[in-house]
Amino acid sequence: MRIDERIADVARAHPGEPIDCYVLMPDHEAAFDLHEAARAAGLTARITPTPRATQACCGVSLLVGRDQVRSVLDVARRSDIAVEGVVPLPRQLDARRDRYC
Amino acid sequence: MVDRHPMWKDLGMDLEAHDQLCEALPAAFGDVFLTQKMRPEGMAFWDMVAADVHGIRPAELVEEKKKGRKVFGTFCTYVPDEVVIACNGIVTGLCGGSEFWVPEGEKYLQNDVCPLVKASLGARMGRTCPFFRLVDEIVGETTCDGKKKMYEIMATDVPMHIMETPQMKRPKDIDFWASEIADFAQNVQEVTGVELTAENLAHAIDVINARRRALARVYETRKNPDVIPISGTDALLMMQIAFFDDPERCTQMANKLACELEERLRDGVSVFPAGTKRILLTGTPLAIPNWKLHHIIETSGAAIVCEENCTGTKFFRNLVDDTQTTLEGQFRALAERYMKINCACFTPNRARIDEVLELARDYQVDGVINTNLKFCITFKTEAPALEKALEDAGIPVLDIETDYTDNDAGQLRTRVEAFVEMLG
Repeated sequence: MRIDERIADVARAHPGEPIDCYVLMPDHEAAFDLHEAARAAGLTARITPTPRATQACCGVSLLVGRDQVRSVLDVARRSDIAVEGVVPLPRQLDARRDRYC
Repeated sequence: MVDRHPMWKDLGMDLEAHDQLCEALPAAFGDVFLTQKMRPEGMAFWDMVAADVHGIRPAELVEEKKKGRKVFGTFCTYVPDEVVIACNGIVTGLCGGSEFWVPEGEKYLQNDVCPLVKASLGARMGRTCPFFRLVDEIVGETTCDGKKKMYEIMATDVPMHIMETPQMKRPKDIDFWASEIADFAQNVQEVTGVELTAENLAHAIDVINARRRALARVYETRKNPDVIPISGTDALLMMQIAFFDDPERCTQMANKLACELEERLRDGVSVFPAGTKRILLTGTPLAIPNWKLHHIIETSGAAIVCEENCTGTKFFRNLVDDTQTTLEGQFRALAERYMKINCACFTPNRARIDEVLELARDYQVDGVINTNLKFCITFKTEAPALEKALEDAGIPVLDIETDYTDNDAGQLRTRVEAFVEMLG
């Protein structure tokens, strides 16, 4: 399924909620390189621990807004940086949750 | 995706229990760090290391150990990293900032011990921290009664070297600390098999002084009264990672971040609105991943612009004299620098009060929050004297005692919001 369709599916399942995309990377070095390349292209991306909803072990991914994910993937292609996948999720962040490690 | 499980299994970790910690990290990290606005680009490195904190650096240490290098785990800013680095050893901080490890620690310690001590023991004995599994030796120091007794338990499970930290700062105490550093140097040489010389110690002193300068450079940008170029929460993350990272890379990344922050000062780019109240946080250390108080304060209308604690200024203030050319002179220089750290374990400790007053002026703060981990008797006992000195200087102060649990977050938020409102 194309990324646009998957984002639309998540949006339908979570009406009214903002959708973020987690770009899964093969390793932290690739994540760092793509972060640098994306930022150089004027895009907004953040390095983040990969949410458990997307995979089964600790790892690093890039957090990207749904409106920029295609551009970030284009940057990855142009920069020859491998990407393992994209997982759209309803926003996982909540500054007032007060749940710490 | 790199799967860290084989490495953790090889390290003898309890994978099932550790998985519970891995599950909590992404949400906590996201809530605390990724909800902030206008973060510096230079935080990407520190984010990356924290995002895979039990993967990236441990994997590097595994590779270095294959080359024969030895890893020394430390708890405290009094342990001189320079001695280990001079002998081609690696220093790593040790995990101890999460409630996750406390119940395991309470299997060995009574519950009225500070959470940092309980969590540290729990992380080792529960086999849920790769750094604790990777160490060839743990270096303790006698800065706290809880830690002293905890070391006796930990020593049943891992080689330990304990440095006796003086409790006073008379000239003979500094002499004594120099002799403790000499004893530690002997121990490090035995573990690493590398001879300590004045030349390799001089190089190590340069390496650690450079790290101190880089971290201080980041802090320097936080003194600007009009522009706050980095949040206290992000500065804390940098400091926490600094305990674990390769010191030369840490210096490079801190300098890179400092360049960006200096540019922000020139451009007037602030992460907080004009008029946000400036807070100096003082008190007990904030071991990774203890981000609770910073997050609560900075989402309650204030900005932390300085941390006077072991995960703050105590880690980098004062350089080691680099002009000494003999081991004896270098041990003395190290002793003099490390004995300038004003921990509450010393008596008297007026120098800490003076230092907090000086920092409050330098960072132009509106108020001070004095925080104490529950059951830390020494910091708790000197709190009234500190608070009186601050009040006499006209600096409002809020005293907070907390631990690693989430259940006082609402109450803390209410108290901090009231304090910030009182600042006007």
